[in-house]
Amino acid sequence: MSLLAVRDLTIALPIGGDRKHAISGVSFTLERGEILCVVGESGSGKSVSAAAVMGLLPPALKVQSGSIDFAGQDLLRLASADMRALRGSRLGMIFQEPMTALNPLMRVEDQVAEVLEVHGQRAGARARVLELLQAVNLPDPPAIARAYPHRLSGGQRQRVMIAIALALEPEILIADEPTTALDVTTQMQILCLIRDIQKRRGTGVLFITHDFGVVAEIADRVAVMQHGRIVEQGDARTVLNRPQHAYTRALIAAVPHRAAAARPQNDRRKLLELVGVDKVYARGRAAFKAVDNANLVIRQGETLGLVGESGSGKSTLARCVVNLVKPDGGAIRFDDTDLRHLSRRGWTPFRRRIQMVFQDPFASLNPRRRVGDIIADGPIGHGVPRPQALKEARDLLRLVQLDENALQRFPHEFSGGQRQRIGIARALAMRPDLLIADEPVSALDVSVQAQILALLEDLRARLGLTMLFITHDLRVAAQICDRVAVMQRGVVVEQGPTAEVFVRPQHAYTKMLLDSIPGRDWVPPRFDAVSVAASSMAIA
Amino acid sequence: MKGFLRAFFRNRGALAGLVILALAFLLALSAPLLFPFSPWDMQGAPFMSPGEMGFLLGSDSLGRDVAAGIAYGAPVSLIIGAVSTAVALVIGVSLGAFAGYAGGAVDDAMMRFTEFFQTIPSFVLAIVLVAIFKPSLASIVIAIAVVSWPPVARVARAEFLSLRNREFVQAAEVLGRSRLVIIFREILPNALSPIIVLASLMVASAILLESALSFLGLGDPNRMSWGFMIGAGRSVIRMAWWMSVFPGLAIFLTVLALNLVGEGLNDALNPRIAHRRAAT
Amino acid sequence: MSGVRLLRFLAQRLAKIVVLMVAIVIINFLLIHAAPGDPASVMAGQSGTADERYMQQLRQQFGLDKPLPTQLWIYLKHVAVLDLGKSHRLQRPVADLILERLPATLLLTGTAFVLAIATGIASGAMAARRVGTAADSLITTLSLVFYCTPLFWVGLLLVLLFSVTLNWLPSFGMGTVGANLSGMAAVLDVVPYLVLPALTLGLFYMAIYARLTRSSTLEVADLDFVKTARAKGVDEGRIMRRHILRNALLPVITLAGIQVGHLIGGSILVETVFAWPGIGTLAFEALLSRDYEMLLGVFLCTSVLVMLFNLITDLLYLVVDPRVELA
Repeated sequence: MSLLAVRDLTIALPIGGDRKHAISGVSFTLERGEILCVVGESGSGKSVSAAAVMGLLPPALKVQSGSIDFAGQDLLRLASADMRALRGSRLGMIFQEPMTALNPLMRVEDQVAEVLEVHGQRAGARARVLELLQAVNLPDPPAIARAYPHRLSGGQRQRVMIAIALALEPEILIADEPTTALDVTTQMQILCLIRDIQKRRGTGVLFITHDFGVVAEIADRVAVMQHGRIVEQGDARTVLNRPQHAYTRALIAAVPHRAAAARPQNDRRKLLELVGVDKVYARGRAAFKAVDNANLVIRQGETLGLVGESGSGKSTLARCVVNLVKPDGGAIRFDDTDLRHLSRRGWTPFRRRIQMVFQDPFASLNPRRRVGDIIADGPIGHGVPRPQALKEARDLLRLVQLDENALQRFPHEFSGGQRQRIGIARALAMRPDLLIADEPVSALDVSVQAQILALLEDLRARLGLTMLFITHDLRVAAQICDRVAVMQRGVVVEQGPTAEVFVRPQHAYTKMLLDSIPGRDWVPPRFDAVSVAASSMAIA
Repeated sequence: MKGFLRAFFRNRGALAGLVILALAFLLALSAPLLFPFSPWDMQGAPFMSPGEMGFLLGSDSLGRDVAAGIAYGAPVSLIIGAVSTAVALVIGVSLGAFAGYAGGAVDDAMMRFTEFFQTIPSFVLAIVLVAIFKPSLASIVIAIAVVSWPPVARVARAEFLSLRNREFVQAAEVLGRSRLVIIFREILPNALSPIIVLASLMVASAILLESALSFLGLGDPNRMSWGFMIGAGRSVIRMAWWMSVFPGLAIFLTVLALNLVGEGLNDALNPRIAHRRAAT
Repeated sequence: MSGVRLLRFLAQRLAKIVVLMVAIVIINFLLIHAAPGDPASVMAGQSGTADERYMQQLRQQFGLDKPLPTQLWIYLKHVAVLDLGKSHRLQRPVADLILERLPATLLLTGTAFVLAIATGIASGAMAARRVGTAADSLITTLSLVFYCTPLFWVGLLLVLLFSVTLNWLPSFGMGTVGANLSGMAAVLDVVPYLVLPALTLGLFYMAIYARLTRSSTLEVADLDFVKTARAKGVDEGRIMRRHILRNALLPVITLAGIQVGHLIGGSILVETVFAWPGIGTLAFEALLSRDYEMLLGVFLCTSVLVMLFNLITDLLYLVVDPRVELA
C-alpha cells in the first residue's frame, strides 16, 4: 500500500477566479522512501495540492470531491483536532520563503522546541533541539539556538525549517518550492541535505518545484501539472528523457540548455570598459564594498554575461554604468569617454546610447500611464515630436511581438512576460548602442523565460545591439552570452568566452557555481521545432 | 477610474457618509434661507425645550434658536476643516516629498524637524497659538494646520522614499528625464492614494479640533460654532440638555461621515485589503 | 543588549530631551514676542488690570528694552532655575502651581491610558479572532462611534446619564469637598470622582487601540510564520497568543507612544468638563484670564511629559522587539 494516495482531488476556486477549480481530478501516490516531484508553472495548482495534504488550505478554497489516504485514514474526513495531531509529527512541511517563515520575536530554540512540546515531548527538548540543528549541518548549534531569526541568513533559516519539520521523524515531508528563494549554491546544499536525510530515514518526500533541473537532480518520480490538472506522471528518467505530453515537452524545451556553443571570436572595438570600479557603502562604522576593483570589457556586438549570486555586486555594477549609483573609484569608459565624471547634463547624450531593461515586470512600468506614453516618453524627452514618437512606439510594439492596440492600454492589463516586452520596447525606443538587461527573465515562468530570451537574441542580431546581461542563472548565461564574467562579493573572479569558462573554469568559486547547477548531468532532449511550436503557449 | 468608482459606491458605509456630507453641505448653504435671522439674536423665551414655541431643537439660555445655531455653525466647521486640511497638506506633502526624494542628510534633518513637532502635544500648541494670536477664523485655521501637517509629511515621505527606488522611476532616470518630470509625472500620481485617504481623515480631526477650541472659548467670536454652543450649554446642562446634545450630534455625524468616506476611499484604492475584509 | 550600551543610549536620549526642551522654551519666547501687543502686557496678562508698576517691573526683570538675543538669554536663565514666571491672576509662581496640580492630571491620564490600552487591545484582538461575525461588527461599529465623538461632548453625555439622570456618580471635582480624609479613606473617596473623567478620556483612545489591534492582528494572521506554526500542529489558541498577538502589538506600542501628546491635550478638555483640579483646568483658567505665562508654563510642562513618556515607550520597544538595535 502506498504511503500517501491522493485520489481524484477537486478543489474549487472562489467565484471570480480565472477558472472554476484550483485543481481538478488530481490523483497521485507517494511511496515510502521516494521523492516525488510535482512540477508546474505558477497557477498550475501544485501548491494547492500540497496544502490540501497538510490540511492547510486557505478558507476560501473548498474541497469538492476526492480523498487523501494516509495511514489508513482519509485526511479530508478527519476531525481538525486529529489532523492537528498529525501535522508536525507524522506530516512535515517546509515553505518557499525562509526570510518570513520564522516568528521574529521568538528565539530559534523556542521555535524548534515548540513542535516537540505541542506533541507531548517536552522532556529533554533543549538537548534534542541542539541535536536537530546539528543534523541539518548548521554551524555552532548552541549560538544559533539562542539567536533570533533576523540574525540568520536565508539558507540557515531554511535549515532551521527543515529541522523543525523533521524533528519528530515524520513519514512524509512536503517541500513547497523550498529552494526557489535561495542562491544557487545554497540551493544545492539544501537539496543535498534533503536527499541525505530522506535516504537515512526513508521519509517520503513530496517536492514542489518549477525547475526541471531540480527534478533531474533529486526526483525518483515526477508529476507535471498544468491549469490544475496532472498532465503526465511517471518515473523520473522516463519523463525527463522521453516526455509524452505536449506541455511537458514544451516545459523541457524551455529549460535553458547548459551546453554553451562556441561563439565566434569578436575582435571589434571596445564599446564599454570598466577599470578598477569601486563602490563602498558606509553602514554605521563598518564599510561594505559592494563592488571591489571591478574590471570588465565589452566589445561591440557581443553579449557579456555578468553572473553571480545575491550580494555579489552585479546589479550594483550595472547601476554604476547607467549612473543610478555613483561609483567611488575607477573609470567607466564608454567609447573613450569616462562616464564617471559627467554631470547630469553631460549624461544627456549618453542616455540615448545606453539603456536598461529591469528585473521586475510588475514594478518597472508606471501603473498610471498608458503603454504608448511609457514607450514614447524617452524619445519625447530628447526632442522627438510626439506624433513621431508614438508612431515609432507602434513599430516597436510590433518588433517585440505585441499587438498595436497595447498603446492605449495600461500595464495592469498585461501578463509578466508581456510587460517585459513593453520594457524592452521602452529601452529600444532610444535606439541604444548598449543594452543592459538586469535579470530580465528571473521573475518569469520557465516557458515565458524561453520566449523572452529568444526575443532578446533575435533583437540583438537584427539591431546589432551590444548587451550586458546580468543573471544568477548560469544556464541562462550559457544560452545567450558570448562571454561571461563571474562575480563574488564585489570582485570579478573570472572572465572569458562562455564555452571556455564552462568547460575549464579557473577560479574555485566558478567551479562551485558550475557544480551547483541542479541536474547538471542531465541533457534535456531536443524536439523538432514543429512539435514544440504546435504545443507552445500563446505569446505570454 | 471606473473601477475605483464602482468599488467605492459598493461600500454602503461610504455611501451613507457621502449622503450625510451632502446634507451638511446643503444645510450650510441654505442656513440664511431656513433661518433668515442672525443666530445671535434672541428669538423667544430662554430654555424652551425642543418643540416648544416653534423652536425645533429648543432655545438656549439667551433665547437663541438652537437649530439656527447648528445651521449657521455648519459652514464654519466645514470651511475651517477643509481649509486647514488643505494648508496642512500643502506643507506636509511638500516637506515630506522633498525629504523622501532627496534622501540622505536632507531627509535626516527633515525627519528630526517632524519628530520634534510630533513631540509637542498638538492640542496644547493649538490652544497656545490661538490664545496668543487672538481667536479668529484665520488664526484657528493656521493653528490647526500647524499641528496637523506632521502625519502628512510622514506619509508623503514614506511614499516618496519607497517610490524613488521603484524600477519604473529608475527607468525614467535612465531615460534621462529631468528631476521635475520624474517627481510630478512618475512619483506623485502613485503617491496620491494614501494621501487622499489621509486627507479625508484629517478633515474629520480638524473639525474635532476646531470644536474643542471653540468649546474652550477660543472660537472666532463673530461666528456661531458647534463647539461654542456645547460650551455655552455646559453649565446649564441640568436644565437644558438640548443645548449640548444637538450640536454634539451634529459634530458626531459630520465626523462619522468623513471617516466612513475615508474608509471607503481606502478600500476602493486598495482592493486587496477590501477583499480580505469581506472574506471570513 | 549590554549595560554599557543601554546607559549610553539613555544618556543620548536624555541629552536630546534637554535640547528639545530648550527648543520649546525658545518657541515660548518667540510666541510672547510675536503676539500682538507689548510683551510686558502679554506676560502680565490682560485681565484689564494693566498695572503699570508691575509691567515696569517685568520690563526690568526681563530686560525688555535690551536687544532680542540678550532677552532670550535672560529668559533661558529664568527657566533653568524653574522660574516660569508668576501667574498674575493667582499671584503665585507658575512652577509651584503646576507642580501642585500635576499629580491630579497624572492620575487621570494614567488611569485613562491603562483603561484604554487594556480594553482596546482586548476588544481589538477579540474582534480579529471573530472577524466577520456579529461580535466583530459590534466592536468595530462601537469603535468607530467612539472615535468620531468629541471628548468634551462624551463627557457631558456621561454626566447627563450618570449624574443628572441616574445620580450614581458625582459630576465634578476630585473628592468630597470639606472632608479632611487621609490615607486609604482619601484614596477611596477619590474613586467615584475618577470614574467618569477617566471613562471619558479613555473611550476615545480605547477606540483607536481597538481598531489598530484589530487591523494589525488581521495582517499578522496572514504572515508566513503563522503558516509555519500551523504546520507544526500548534493549536489556534496558542498560535494567537504566542505568535500573532505578540507581533501584532508592536505597532500598538509605537502608536501609544505617539498618542501620549494627544492624551495629555485631551485631558485639558476632560478636566474642564469635570472641574478636575489638574493642570488642564489651570490652563483653562489661564485662557479665560489671558494669563499667558501660566499657559506657556503648562505648554512646557506637557511637552516634557510627552518626551519622557516617549523615552519609556522606546525602551519598552527595545525590550519587546529583538530586531531593534541600540545603534
